[in-house]
Amino acid sequence: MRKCITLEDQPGFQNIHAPVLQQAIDRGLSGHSGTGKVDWGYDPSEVDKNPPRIPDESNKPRRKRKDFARGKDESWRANRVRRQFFEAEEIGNPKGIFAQSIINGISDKGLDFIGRFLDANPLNTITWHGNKKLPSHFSVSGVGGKFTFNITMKRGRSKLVSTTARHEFGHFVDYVLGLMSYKGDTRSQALFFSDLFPAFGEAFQKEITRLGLEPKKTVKGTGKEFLDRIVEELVAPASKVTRQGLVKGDLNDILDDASGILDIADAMTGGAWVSRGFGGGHGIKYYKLNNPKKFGNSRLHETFANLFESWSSKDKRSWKRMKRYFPELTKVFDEMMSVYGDPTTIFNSVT
Amino acid sequence: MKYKEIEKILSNTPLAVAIRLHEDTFGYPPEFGGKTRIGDPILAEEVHKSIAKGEPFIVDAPQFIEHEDGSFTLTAY
Repeated sequence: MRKCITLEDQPGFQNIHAPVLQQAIDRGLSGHSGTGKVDWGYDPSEVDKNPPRIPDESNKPRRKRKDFARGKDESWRANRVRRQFFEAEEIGNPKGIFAQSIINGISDKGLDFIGRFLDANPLNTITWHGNKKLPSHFSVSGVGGKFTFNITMKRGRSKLVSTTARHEFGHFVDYVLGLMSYKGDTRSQALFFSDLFPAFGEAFQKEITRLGLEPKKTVKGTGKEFLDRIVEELVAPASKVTRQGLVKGDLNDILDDASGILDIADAMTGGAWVSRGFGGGHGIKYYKLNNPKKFGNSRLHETFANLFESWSSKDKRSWKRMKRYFPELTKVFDEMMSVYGDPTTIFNSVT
Repeated sequence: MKYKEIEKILSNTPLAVAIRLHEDTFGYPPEFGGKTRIGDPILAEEVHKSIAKGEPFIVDAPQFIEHEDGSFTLTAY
C-alpha cells in the first residue's frame, strides 16, 4: 500500500536544490507512473548542475573542531600545551595564536616542561596589541596570596613572535618558581626565582669577572672587548652574506639569533650594548638597580628569560651558542632544569 | 670582519639612524622601556614620528607598583 506524503512538509524540503528534486521525480515517474516526463516550465539542463552545499540541520551530533584540536602530525605534548593555553583568556587576536607561537619554535623538552608547568599554574590572560611603541611583557598582579598571570604581546612577524613568546614565558616561569620554592615566607613579592636562587646570582657574577665586564667609568666603556667579539662572531657572518646577496633581505632574522646573547651582555654591563645606539637589549634605565632586595634584580630576571628562551628553542644551536659564551650560567641553569625539566617532576600550584 | 666595519653597517640600520637623530635633537637617546631589536624599522618610524612632533620618545615601563588597596603589579619586559 502506498503512503502519500506532502513534500513541502518534509524536513529540509526548502533547501533541496530544485533541479535535483526534479530529476528524482522524473526518474520516479519513468519507473512507476509511465510518462517519465513532467513539464517543469524550464529546461533542467540549463541550470546549475552542482547543488549548493546545504547546512545539515538534522539533530545528528557532529564533531566540532575546537581551537585546540590536534593538528596534522602534532605531538600529544604540543596538543596538551595548545589545550592549556585555550583555557586562558586571549584578547586582541583569534584564540590560539599564542599557543601556536609557542609551539612553532619550541623543542620537545620545552613543550614537556611548559605542559607540566601549566598543569599546576595556568596562565590567566594573553593580550595582543598593535601599539608599535609598547613592548611585550609578562606581568603578575596579586593580593593576599592570590595571583593573576598575564602575558602581553606586540603583534608581529611569526618567527620573532615565537622567540618573544618564549622570552615572556621565561619570566612567568622565573616568577612562579620563586613562589614555589619560597612559598610561605615573608619575602617581597617582587622577587623572582633568579633573585632567590643563590647559585644563579653567583654564576652571573662569575661570568662578569671572567669576561671582564666589571663597571668602568662609563656604561658605554664597559665590556667593550667582549661586546666587539660577540658582534664580530655573530653579526659579521650575517652582514657578509647579506652584502654578497646570498641571503635575501632579512638581516634582522639573523640579528635576532644574536639578540639573546647581546641582551645578557647588556644585563651584565648595565646597558653597555644599548648605549651603542643600534637597538637591541633593554637599556641603562631598565638595568638601574633600585633596592634589589625589595624590588628584585632586573639584570638577573632578563638573564633568566633569555636563557629559558634559548634552552627551550627547537634550534639546538641556540643553546650551544649560549654555552659557549656563558658556560657558568648555562651550567647552573642546566642544574636547575635537571630537576624541573625532569618529565616525572610534578609542579606545585602557587595559586 | 672587524668590529669597525660591522659598526658602519649597523649604524645605517633604521633604528640606529632614528636614535642618532633623537640624540641630536633632544640631547639624549630615546627610552624604549623593554627589549628592542637591532635596527628595528617599525620602532624607528615611531621615533621619527615623535621627533617630528617635537616630543622625546620615552616609554614609561614601571617594574613594580604597590597599590593603595595592598595589591601589587609586577612587570618584566
